[in-house]
Amino acid sequence: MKQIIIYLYAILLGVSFVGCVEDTGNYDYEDPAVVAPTIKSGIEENYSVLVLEDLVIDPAIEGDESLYDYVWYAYPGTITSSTPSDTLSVTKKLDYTVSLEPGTYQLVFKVTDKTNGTSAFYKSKLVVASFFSEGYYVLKYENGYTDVDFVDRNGLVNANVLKAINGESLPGKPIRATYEYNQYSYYVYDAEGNRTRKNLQPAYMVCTDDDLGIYEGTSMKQLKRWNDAFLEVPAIKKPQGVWANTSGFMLMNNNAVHFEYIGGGGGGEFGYAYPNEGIKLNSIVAVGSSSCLCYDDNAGEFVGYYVQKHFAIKNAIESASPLTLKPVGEVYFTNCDLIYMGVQPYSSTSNGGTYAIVKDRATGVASLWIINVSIMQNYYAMYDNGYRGRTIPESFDVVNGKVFAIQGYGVLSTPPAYSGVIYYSKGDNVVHYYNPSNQTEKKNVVTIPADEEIVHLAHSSDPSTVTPVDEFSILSNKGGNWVLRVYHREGSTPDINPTVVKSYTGTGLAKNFIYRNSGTRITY
Amino acid sequence: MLSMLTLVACKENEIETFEDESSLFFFRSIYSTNSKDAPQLDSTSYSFFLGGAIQVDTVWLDVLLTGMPSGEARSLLIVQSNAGEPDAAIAGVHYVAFDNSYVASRMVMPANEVVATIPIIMTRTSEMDTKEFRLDLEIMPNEYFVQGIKDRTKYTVKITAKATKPVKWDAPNSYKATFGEWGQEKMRFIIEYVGYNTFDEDLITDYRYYLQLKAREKLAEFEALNGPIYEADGTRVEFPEAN
Repeated sequence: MKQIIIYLYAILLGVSFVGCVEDTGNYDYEDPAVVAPTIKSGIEENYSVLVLEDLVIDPAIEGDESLYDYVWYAYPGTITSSTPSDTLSVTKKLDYTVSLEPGTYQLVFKVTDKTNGTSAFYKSKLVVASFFSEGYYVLKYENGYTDVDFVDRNGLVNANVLKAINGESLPGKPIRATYEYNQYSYYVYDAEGNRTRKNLQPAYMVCTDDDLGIYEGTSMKQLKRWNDAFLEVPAIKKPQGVWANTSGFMLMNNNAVHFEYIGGGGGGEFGYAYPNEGIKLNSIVAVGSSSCLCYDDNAGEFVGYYVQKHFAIKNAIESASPLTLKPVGEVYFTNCDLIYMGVQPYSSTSNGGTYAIVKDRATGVASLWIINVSIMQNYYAMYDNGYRGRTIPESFDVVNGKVFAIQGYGVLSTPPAYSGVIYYSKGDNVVHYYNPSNQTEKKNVVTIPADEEIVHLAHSSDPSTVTPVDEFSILSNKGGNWVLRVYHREGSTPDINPTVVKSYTGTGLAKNFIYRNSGTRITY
Repeated sequence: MLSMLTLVACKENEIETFEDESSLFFFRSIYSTNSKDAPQLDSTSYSFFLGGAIQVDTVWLDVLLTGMPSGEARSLLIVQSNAGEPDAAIAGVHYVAFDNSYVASRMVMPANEVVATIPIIMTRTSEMDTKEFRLDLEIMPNEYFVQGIKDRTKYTVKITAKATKPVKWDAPNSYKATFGEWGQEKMRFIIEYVGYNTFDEDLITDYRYYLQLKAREKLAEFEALNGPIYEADGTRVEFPEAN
């Protein structure tokens, strides 16, 4: 009997527990395989593309395709609650020109039954690689706008990439463009308005006479335009150029310098105008670290700016050992016209040797100066290493040049003075050079067709990259189109082998170009 | 025994509900701001100096309920507890009295709410250029509420139009690094000509450079037309040219 009672209690307990189980309800359940859409085929597990490539995927759907809604979207590989997603298409067939930032994504295809609202998904891995890390950025003017023709690593000319990526070119005539691979910061906002600062990012900037465009350096997606590129937009808009200066960027507008400083902690805006104190700034600039060497056309002398010093730097310093360097408060020269100023490249971050050719207004005598711009940030002054100005012989034609380039040093160490020749063209179809080390000139180094006008020269020199860069390039205009020719030097001499190694053409009038190699941090 | 335990285990728990009187206290937090995005601890110091030419301004204070919300609005009783004392603010002179129809309509715990946001409407007087007035507030019991958390039933609002040196002025890499030594005329110039009046920020480098450059340029422009500016002690107003 006792045993029976125990069994009854056990049954009672069991019933009690079962009684606590929630009722499943009285719904009708259907098989998802029957009512939900079915993606039959046509999508792979992995995709690998470059920015600007076309990604085309046409999946097969079971049944009548018109009964479904479709969406393609991508989100970054790491999912968080605020991970944004990009909608790529709302059609069954994806035909998408890739403009995502380089990285790894989840590519998702979603099919939704319009009648019953059920959906099916297919997830793939999408790897987007940087397309813009190597090639030539030809800045040009066409149909009233400025844009960039990008010659990629395969030699293909991708025309008008600003418009292709962002939907529009820049208004105005091109002045110059610049690039730096890790000295720009900006804010990104999620759907809830939360702000994240992206620091040490690559950026490409284009300055026209009517606008400024700031673009993310790997995808060429627009980050800012003139009206949001300043902490306080200048009252007068008269852009004169933009430069990368190894710690950010410098913009010249309406005769004043503005810095965007990587150490500033902000969101990539240019700051207030630095005082110009009666200076008329020439638009030829040589950059240093957080500083720039400019030229005052009024006084006819150098003037420098360093981001942390809020005054124009006009001091020169005595040539001596580094221990005795100090400002002497005098300029090296005055009342001279600037013919040319540029930096001798010797690595991807060279900023030590700035060459400047000036001509005395009173005497007509031209001289070559070598200025150490990086000294400006340490001693607030300009240092010429004691070389003073080297007089350029009166018969030399370099003083009549319109387009210039300095020969790169090609060795990873500080170049000695006068170690680079100065290539030049007088606005025609011929290249010459001036060699200050032995005070000679060589004429007719390279000649291109007579109906072309040379607009830009460059010796792209960087021994620090995996494959050292050593190319001499000539950019010219011909009948409304541009031509870019690339040459090699004759060994390690400054002479140019006249055989064209590579040649590219495009439409529009070129102004200048930048060459980017994966190891190149900065362009001048 | 087992079945007894089982029966007990199946008995539904009864949750105790709040049955005390409803009470009020002033919001206070060092980690967050009140419903008007303003800091609220145990006092507020306000200066008309930072507001330029404005003559009337409002400090908003949150009052919180302990207890059940009601389906009807319930009035609060908040009084000035230092009336008549030296440098006490005077109702109708330095601030809009609490029996003003608008203010009274806001001295209410709204229906179905647990937070009331009350306005202290301050009015500028010429005396405030040289003096500071004090308004001590206290929550008092009425037919609806008793006093709440013991040390949160009082709040002080200090009202002046004097330029007071901001707390953060001398902090490293802050306003002193940007504008130099503080002075009343310098501060007035910064507000009126540089266009900056938020002296409780942490300044990033970018912004400091921007403010310093702008201040120097605006001062140069001003001096070219009007000559230098001096503080009351004769110190000339200047801004540093470097960090």
